[in-house]
Amino acid sequence: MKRKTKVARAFYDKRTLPQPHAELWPDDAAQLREAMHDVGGPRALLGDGQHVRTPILGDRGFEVIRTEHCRRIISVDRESKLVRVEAGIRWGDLQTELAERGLSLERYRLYPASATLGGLFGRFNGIHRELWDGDLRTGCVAMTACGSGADYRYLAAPRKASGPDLRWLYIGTEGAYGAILDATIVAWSPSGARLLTWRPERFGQAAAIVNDAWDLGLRPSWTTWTGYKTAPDELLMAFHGPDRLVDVAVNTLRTRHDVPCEVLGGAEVATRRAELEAAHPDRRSLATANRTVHAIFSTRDLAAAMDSLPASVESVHIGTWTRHHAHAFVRYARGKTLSELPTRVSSRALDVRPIVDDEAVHWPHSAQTLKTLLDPDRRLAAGP
Amino acid sequence: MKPPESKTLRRELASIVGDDFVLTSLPDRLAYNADCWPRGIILSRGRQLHRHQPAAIVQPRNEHEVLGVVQWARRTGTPIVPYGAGSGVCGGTLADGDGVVVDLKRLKAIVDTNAEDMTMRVESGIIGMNMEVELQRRGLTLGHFPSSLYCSSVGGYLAGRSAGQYSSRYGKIEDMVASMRVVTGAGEAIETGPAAHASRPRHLVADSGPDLTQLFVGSEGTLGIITESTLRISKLPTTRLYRGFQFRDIPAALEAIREMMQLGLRPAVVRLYDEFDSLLARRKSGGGSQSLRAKALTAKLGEVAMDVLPVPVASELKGRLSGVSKAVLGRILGQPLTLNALIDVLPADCLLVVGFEGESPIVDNEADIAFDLLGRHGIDLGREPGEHWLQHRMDVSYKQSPMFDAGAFVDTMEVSTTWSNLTRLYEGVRRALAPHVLVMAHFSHVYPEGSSIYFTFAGFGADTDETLRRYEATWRTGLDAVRKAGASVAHHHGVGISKAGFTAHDHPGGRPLFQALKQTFDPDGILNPGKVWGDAEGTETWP
Repeated sequence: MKRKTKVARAFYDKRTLPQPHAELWPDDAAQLREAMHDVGGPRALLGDGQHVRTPILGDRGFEVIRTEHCRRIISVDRESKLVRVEAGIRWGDLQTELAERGLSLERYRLYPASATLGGLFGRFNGIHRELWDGDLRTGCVAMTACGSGADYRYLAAPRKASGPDLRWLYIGTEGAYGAILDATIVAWSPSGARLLTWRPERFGQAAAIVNDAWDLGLRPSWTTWTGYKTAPDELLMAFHGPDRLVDVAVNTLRTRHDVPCEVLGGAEVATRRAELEAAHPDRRSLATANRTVHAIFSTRDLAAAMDSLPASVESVHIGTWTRHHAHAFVRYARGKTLSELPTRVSSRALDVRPIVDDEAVHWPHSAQTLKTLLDPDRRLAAGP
Repeated sequence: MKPPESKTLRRELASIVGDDFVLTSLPDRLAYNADCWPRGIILSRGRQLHRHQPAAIVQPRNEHEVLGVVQWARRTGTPIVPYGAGSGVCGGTLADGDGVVVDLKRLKAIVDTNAEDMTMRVESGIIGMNMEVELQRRGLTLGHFPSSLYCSSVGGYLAGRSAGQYSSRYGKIEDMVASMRVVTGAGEAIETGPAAHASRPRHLVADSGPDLTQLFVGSEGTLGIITESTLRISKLPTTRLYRGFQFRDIPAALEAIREMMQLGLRPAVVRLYDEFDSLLARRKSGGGSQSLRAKALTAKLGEVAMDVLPVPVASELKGRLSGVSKAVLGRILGQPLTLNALIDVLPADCLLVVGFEGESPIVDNEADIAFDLLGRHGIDLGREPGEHWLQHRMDVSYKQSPMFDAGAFVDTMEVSTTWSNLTRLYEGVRRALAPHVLVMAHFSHVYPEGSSIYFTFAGFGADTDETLRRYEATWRTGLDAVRKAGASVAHHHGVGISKAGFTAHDHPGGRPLFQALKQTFDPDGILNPGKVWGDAEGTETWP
């Protein structure tokens, strides 16, 4: 395993992350496991470093384990459409590699293409997943993780009822208790695709279309909305499935909503997806990151929250929108570096945090106790 | 610490929940001596009524009283066992002589229903059917319809990771829950996640640490007592399209179902019966529940035998099978190997019931695509089998099966695995159980990546002790076969006591993680001890 004491400062500076003493570069999951068990540290795990929060790492010096070389596709179960893959692979690369194998991840929501799978699982999520929302956490069937003790393996079988789902000690905990070594996720055969581009005049029209689609029983693979001041309102909804079914979905929605709408199909949908994932706002390295806030709203409060946004907001991008909630990326105008939304907006949010979040993190007592029990020597730099 | 003597215990508990809601009489304690775990029924039939009687039952009316009970239990070192409606089939709500059952049936309110974000806030003790009736009155549904709907509670669903008959469309309960209010064994009330319904300020919800919702769902009362939850709901569908299909065998049917699910179609109901289960499904009213199947099995076993046995043998047996007596059952179920071998050569096909629900024209097209696909693999039987199932799906008998009176037992085992492993699992379990019990199966919760299998088995013992021995041996053998096949030992019934020795199989390396959760949320070990994780893998005996 390669160990670098001279680290690329630009990588950390760009992400406003503290510089580590050294970097360890495991080549695969086995070496990652070794690095986790090796006496030393404290150590922190880093994929693309887009989602880790500075306060999570604390102010102790640490080494970083860079997981990006752990990118092997371990196995493909074509009959079950399951792919077991090392957690350091980037989301965009995984889609490309699976496409070469005749499989697709087109039904997942949009994620930053550069993010690693482990980073997407490990990042803190403000709310719980839901069915058919395209969340990777829902598509994850099995997982291997390791902490300071033995590996933990969550068996590959659908929807188990054998006690608490212990994967969630690693999913969303930002590497505080251990490393995700590999994950098994559901993939699909490529199918018919349609992308509806609506241009509503008012936000309420967009909300009505989204709610209607879900109430009709449609499940868009992904939905985004961009608008507010500088950008014209644009609602994108992608559907995947048998051609006949996606056409019925498109025609039904268009008939029910008198809003200008264009329809793209086939490869154009994949291209648009790739563009959106390449420009995904949920990244610390973006130039606009320090003036972007990620807020999650219940759909009951979404419209009121949008109405209450301050004049200094430049644009809003809703990256995931279901019948129950929406993830909004609120970008302030250049020169504005507000770290929080106004109380009248944030009080309506289920969760809210700036993309570059350097504020202190509140660790609940239970999380601290778990840290003491699962990482008693504090060999992992992340966590309380 | 030794729990308090009964008078002190009663007085102390009464000071928390009121005297009327502390039950200590023998009839009351007998009522909580067993849940719906068939082993409890065998024990009761054998007059063994002492094993799981609690010291008392308390019925708190709100979270404050639940907190009071937990704090009292911590102070006195008394084990407490959360109890919803007692419909669990794995012994998850059984106490022992020192334990106190915390019955949540008084927490039965629908706190809020919100059609704007399609969520509801509900207390844990509400019975599923009562909640669903209220939702449907408003044009809404949770979409969760276990066959125990009339006698099971929302808290129980969450505690055991329950699945309903329509899981392929609406998901299991862990897919529906947004957050929960939980009283932990550490004596704290926490919200497991942010929810628009929760009246507590958002800033009180943690902004780091694990997603507690998924850690408490399925914890079966070992980490905390769920008092409220926010659940995602849907609009009540206006169109229902059901159909039956016949397949030459299980692999052919599974291939068709797999193809349907991997296209991304979302049927509400998919129920594939194996050859013997198909015979029963065709003969009885509906294809659903364990109790119903047990009843049908009792009533129709002879009839089925008449159909499939050579005429001379059938004639001889006919007289003996005229009434279901202990002797007859013993003869039939006492030779399971022969009976299972017989099933293997049945000239029967497999029945698939599939249903779609939603809004026209979308659901019509989705169903058409599915029915065309299934019709290419099998024979379309038309609407009748599906609509028959729909009409009778809740025809559950709440009487204990007469089979138990006759010294026999019936139970079910719900396991799951990926598509590529499904036939191996089905055949492995059938082969392992064949010498012990009559075994049949259906496949009823399907996903793009795999499916569950619902095995039903029936056995017989000459007396209570032999019945118990055979029952325990059957479970051990069955779960071991599941383990060997690399499948999950539990899909939607939970673990309780019955599978606790096999939990580690689904979570290799998970024991220290569970212990850490236990130390964090139940530092005194008072919450539902002995459930979910056994002391040692696959070796312990049931208490």
